[in-house]
Order: sequence, then structure tokens, then C-alpha cells
Amino acid sequence: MRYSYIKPRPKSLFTSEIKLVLSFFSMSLFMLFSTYLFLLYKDAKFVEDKKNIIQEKADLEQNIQDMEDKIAYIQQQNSTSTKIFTQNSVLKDSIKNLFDLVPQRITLSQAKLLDNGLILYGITPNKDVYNFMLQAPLRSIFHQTYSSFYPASGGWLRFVSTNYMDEEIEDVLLNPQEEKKDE
Amino acid sequence: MELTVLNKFKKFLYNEIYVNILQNSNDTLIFIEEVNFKGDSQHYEKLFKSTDKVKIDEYIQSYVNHSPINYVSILDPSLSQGAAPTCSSSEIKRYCESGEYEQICINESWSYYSSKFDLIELQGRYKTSGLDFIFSPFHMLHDFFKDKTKGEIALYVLVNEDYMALSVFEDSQLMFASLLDMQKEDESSDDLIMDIDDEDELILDEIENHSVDLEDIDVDDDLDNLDELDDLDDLESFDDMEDFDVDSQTEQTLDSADSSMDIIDDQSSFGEDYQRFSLIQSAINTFYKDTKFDGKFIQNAYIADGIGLSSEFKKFLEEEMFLSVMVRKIEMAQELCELAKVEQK
Repeated sequence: MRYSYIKPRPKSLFTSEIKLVLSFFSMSLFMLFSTYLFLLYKDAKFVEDKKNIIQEKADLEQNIQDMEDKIAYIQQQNSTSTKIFTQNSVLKDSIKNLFDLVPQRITLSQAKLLDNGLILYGITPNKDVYNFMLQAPLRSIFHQTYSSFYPASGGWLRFVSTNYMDEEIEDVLLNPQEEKKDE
Repeated sequence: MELTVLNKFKKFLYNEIYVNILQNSNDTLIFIEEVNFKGDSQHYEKLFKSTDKVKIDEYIQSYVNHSPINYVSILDPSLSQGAAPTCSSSEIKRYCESGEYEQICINESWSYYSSKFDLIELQGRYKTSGLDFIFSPFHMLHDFFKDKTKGEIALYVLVNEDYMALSVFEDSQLMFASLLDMQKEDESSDDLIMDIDDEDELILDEIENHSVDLEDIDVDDDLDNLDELDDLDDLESFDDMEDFDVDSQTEQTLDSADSSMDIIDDQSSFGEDYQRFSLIQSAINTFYKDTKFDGKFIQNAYIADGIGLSSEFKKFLEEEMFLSVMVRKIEMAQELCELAKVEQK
């Protein structure tokens, strides 16, 4: 039962001191919470960055692997080209040597270079010129030499010279650098 | 449950401050009780002149600022207040003179009221500190004698400096109530004394015989005759008196003046007590004249003495009104504090 003419004023615990303390506490909590959120964000960002870096690393490793493969392929190509160049040089030298072997009185109409042999087609004034001036150097180079003649117009003779070389010797002739390496 | 825990927490955090204001026309007593969590209390009180409003506000604020759980209570000093043996708002208008009033009904049988204008004015006076409770002296009186009001018809009076709250209860039912204004009667006290009957005149004669009129005291004349008194020789013979610088004549003069002042105080106190008696007598006469209370006769009177009445007052009531009087001392400020404690629960 109420006995007073007036009702008491509401009593609030929030005095100015309490408000001050609460504001400081709330500010501290806000700062802590902000820091926590910032750390959460940074952590998430770090995880994402780490994931990206791992992906990037994997991509780079893949790229490196591709590059290595390409390098290996290029090196292989290089070695192949070098080999071909060498072979071509040898072949060039062989052809040069071959043409150096052919005397001025004999005229070649066709030459076939085989892996282990050489077939020459040409025309000679007579057999002697051929035998002495061409067949002799060919025999010194090839192991087996076969010659056949056909009469041509004007008393000249067409010839076909087939020359074969044993494989070991042929390799030596064709790959003089490798032989040197073996030595 | 949660509210109880919250209240306990509040009490643990802050002390409860009860500021109690007893405002009279001349003085205002501020009684403060500070209760801590354990229930231990400390009391402070200070008396101000009622005109020192600023000092009163400062004093209250100095304690109110200690804790947000503070309750400022005041005993309604309004002279337009009263009590009526009804709760009906239509019937109470017969008792209440003011147009706008605030009414508190007790047990649906009786109520006390006060002028709304006075309550607002009171709240305005203490707007700096604010007021939480305004209690009626009739409620204080009823609460103070709650062990007695349940019995047979009796007169209950709360005696304050400015007014007396008079009520007649029978079986917890208020039958009659009146607020007796001491200040109002003060101005017409001479007229009141002139109107009294023969028996009262006799009493006044006795008073006059025992009293001393200051105008009749001629200090110089008395001093001339002092040497002739034998008793003074005896006084001079005391060893203890030798060291006094004041001569015996001056001392005698001071003694005479002190005794004169005491007599004046006694006379003044007696006059106020008689005035109170007269007011009560007048009020009781009004009660007896009411045809509604035919056959009711008051035998017992319970007086809550808030100012320190003289024994003469009780004697007046007993001898002049044939009442069996019981005077119980009341610490009004503490009682007001207790009312506030009960009210705030």
C-alpha cells in the first residue's frame, strides 16, 4: 500500500562515475573487438595469400617443369642439329674429296651417295684413264669396287662405278670426331 | 528473483541514503541515515533556519551525491492537510477545504489528504535535491500508535512545533481528525486566554503568582540592599570563592538575571502548552458536539510528543478533560526515516 503523496523517483545505477567507467570499458571492449576482427581479417587474408602462393608455386613448378622439358627438347634438337651439321660437313667434305678425286678428263653425270657406298655414273675417254686416275683412289677408300663400262658416242665409254665400304670403317670415315673421342 | 539479486547488487555497490526533512516555520531539521550493505547505519543531523534554503540544499546534496540510491522524505508541513473518516472522493469534499487535493486511502475506511497546490509548492522548494516521499503527520501518528488504535475509542495527538495532528480512532476506524495550527492560534492567544472559564482563570492566577515580570526587577535597587544580607557573609567565607575575580555583588546580579530568564522560558513553554491544551480542548468539544458521535466518550489520550512537552500539559489534559493520558516521546525524524524505509520496499 502506498502511504506517500508522491511516488519516488526512479533510481538509476548509472551515475556519472558509472557512466564514465562504462564508457571506458565499452571503448576498451570496442578496441579489443576491433583488434580481434582485424586479426581475424588478417588471418583470413594470410590464409588466402598462402593458398594463392601455394597455387602460384605449383604453377611455377609446373612452368619450370615445362621449361625443363622444353630445354631438354631444345638441347636434343641442338644435339641433333649439331649431329646433322657434322654429318653434313662430313658429307660436304666427302663430296668435295670425291670431286677432287675425279680427274679433269673424266666427266661425272650422276653420283649416288649411299650409307655405305658410292655409285658414280660418268663418261671416260677410255678404260685406262678411268682405271688409273679414278678407280685407283676409289679402291684406296672403299673396300669393294665394281666397275662396268658401256660404249658411248665418239669412242667414249659410259661407266658405272659401285663402291662399298665395310661398316666399321665407314663409321670412322663418317664420324671422325666420335672416333677421336673414343681414342 | 532477478530483481532481488539486482537489489542486493545495488545495495552492495552503494549505500542507501535516507534524507528526512522536518520543516517548521522557524527551523528545518535534516536527519540523514546512511545504511550500508551489512545493514549498519550511520546518522547525521543538522538544524537550519528555514530561510537558509541554499544551505539546506547544499547539505542535502552533499549526502545525496554519495549514492544514487537515495530517498528524500519530508513530513508534509502544509496546514491545509487533514484526515477524514471516508475514502469516497465525493464525501471527502465536506472535510477538505481546498479544491484540488491529493488523497491516500487507508484500509478503505479512512483517508488523509493534502492540497495539491501545497504539495507542488513543496516539491518546487526542494527541486534541487528532489523529493521521493511526502508523508502526512496523520499517517505518522497512526503508524506510531498502531498497537493502540485497534482498541476502544481514544484520542491520539501528534505534537509538532507548528501544528498538532489530532485524531480519534475506534477499532482502527478514524472517527474524527483535525489539524490544529499553532501559528494561527499564536496571534489570537490573548483572545483565547480571555475566553477561558473560571477554572482556567484560577490556573492563570497561579501562573502569574509564580512568574516574575522583568520590568519589576530593578537591579540597582537590589544591589544596594545586598550588603545587608547575612547569607552573603557566609558565601564570602567559602575558600573556593576566594579566587573569583567577580565580586559578590556582580555574581548576585548574574544569578538574578539567569533565574529571571529561566522563569521567562518556563512561562513561554507553559503558555505554549496551555495553548496546545486549549486547541485540543476546542477540537474535542467539536467532536462531542457532533450528533453523529452521541454517546461516545473519550477516556484515553495518547500523545506523541515530538517537541518535549512539560508535565503541565499532561496535567491539564488529565485534570481539565478527565482523560487518562499517556505521553510517548517520538523522534519524528527517525520515525519519518522508518516510514521511508517501509515505503521504498
